[in-house]
Amino acid sequence: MSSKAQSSYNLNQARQTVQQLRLEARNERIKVSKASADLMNYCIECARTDPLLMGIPASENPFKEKKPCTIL
Amino acid sequence: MSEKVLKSPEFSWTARSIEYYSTHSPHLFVHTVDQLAERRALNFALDLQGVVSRVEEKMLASSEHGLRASLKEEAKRGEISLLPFLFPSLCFIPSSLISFIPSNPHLFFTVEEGQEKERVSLQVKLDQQSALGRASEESVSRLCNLGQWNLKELIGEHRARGDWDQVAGDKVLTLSGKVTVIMAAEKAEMDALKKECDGLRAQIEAARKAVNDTTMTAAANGVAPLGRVQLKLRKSLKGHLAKIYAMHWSEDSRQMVSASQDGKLLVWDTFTGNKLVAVPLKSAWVMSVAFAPSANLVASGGLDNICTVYNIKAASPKTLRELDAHTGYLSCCRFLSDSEILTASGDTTCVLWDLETGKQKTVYTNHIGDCMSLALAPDMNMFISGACDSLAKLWDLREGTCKQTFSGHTSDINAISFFPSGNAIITGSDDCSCKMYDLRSDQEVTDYTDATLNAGVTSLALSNSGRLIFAGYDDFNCHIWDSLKGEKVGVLSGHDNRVSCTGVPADGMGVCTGSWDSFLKLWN
Repeated sequence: MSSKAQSSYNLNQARQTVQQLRLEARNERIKVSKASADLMNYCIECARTDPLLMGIPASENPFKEKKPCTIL
Repeated sequence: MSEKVLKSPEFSWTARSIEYYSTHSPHLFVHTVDQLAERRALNFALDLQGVVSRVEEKMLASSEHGLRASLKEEAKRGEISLLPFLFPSLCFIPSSLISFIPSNPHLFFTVEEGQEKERVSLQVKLDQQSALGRASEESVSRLCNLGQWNLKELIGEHRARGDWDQVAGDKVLTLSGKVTVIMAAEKAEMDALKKECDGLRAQIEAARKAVNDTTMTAAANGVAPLGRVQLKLRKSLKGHLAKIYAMHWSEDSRQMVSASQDGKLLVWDTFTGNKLVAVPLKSAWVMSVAFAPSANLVASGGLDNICTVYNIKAASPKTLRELDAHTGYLSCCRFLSDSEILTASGDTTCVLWDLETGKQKTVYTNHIGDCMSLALAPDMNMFISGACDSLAKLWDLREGTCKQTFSGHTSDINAISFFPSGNAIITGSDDCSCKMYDLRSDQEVTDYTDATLNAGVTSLALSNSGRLIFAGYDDFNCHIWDSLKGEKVGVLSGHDNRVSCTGVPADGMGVCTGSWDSFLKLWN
């Protein structure tokens, strides 16, 4: 592309960029302290039902290799 | 040679195609690399002073084709000294004519009266490919003289002089591209836009800073540390013969599908380690795979630019749909249901498809780099995408608009995921870091980096509570991060090559890692 062609393409892109930025500038933002607190609370509340955090008893582990049983 | 002006054929080609016409033997060559997604039929007529010759419609694949134009006897007796070339990407209206005289290379084009109001975007460059022709810089730059031209002055003929070398026998010339003419008024608009753009960016940064009263890690100071998270390797799934590029769990948390560049999709029963279904792929260059929530369908795609959907419940896997409209590779796909699927592509767009019609429902455009990854929000109203422009974007699925943009990474974002509450997203990048962005405060809240980790992040998945982040890296490992405290708490080691994909099933009972070493491993 010649540099002039680039400008024409850039003009369109510039219009779209500005339009998008106008939209994003209007967003409401909450404080990071509040956002973090909510994320932390979620983790803590769900920790008990998170198998990878709590550990999985061998008898309930679906991926554990099953050893063959022998009947004595 | 006498000059005959021929009517321009009407192509629906893009600028990348190159057309050749040999005066000695009338062949038309069309080069269609990278255009698999474009309209493939070529239908034109060479109008030789009333004598029409028609080339049959042909389906074109990615290679050069010689389409023989058969000329009627009368025409053969005359001299064909010229063939017009249309630049398909012209914004000119069809009434403009472009002629080229092979013996005396001049390019003529006209701007018709009435077109002066239109934004003329025309770029001419006589392409050097195959060493055939070259436009003189002078004429091209004259046409591009900014600000001193208004379109009214352009009405009339313009020349771009070309030279060319003889090429073994036939004299052939390739033409491609456009000549750009930009008005002075446009330059003024460009300056104004740039100013507004800078102002808006500063405004957004200030708004973000205003709510930045802490960091996630600082806030998580009081949270008990996890200690070392040690997961055991439970199964190694052997079956693929080449690098594994993608995997996806079924919603039943038992079945899983993997894709490898050995040209197969394999559906596994992870409880037994058995392979349930093998889907042979048309194109081995697969980059992504997805399981539908119903488990009836799987989808895959890659360098073929196509997302193919398969019915795996049939007696043998049957292709249900080929979604073919992306102009770049398919990097990621995710089903919303059996009737809708989202794709991300190297053509910088994401697309929502209707599986019943096979058509695009919505195209999401805003990224300026290849889209590498996407993830659906838990509520299914939004989705996020990560791209090579180092940005992550939040989209409104139904409106088709980009709602938020997250920056901070310094290289391609390869992996992206929602935090289970839906209020935050995690990204993984070639810059060797992962980041957490909170959607409601619209900014980065944690950065997961380690001085000893110098490998790019290829994939990531979260445990059900969101506390653990499993990130696959180029260093052959999957590292485990404490999402709240930003600390590394464990590692899944065992692969002999890059970890390319990671996934945690819906019930959270384990992690699956897939690697270029052709194995999938299950850990918990």
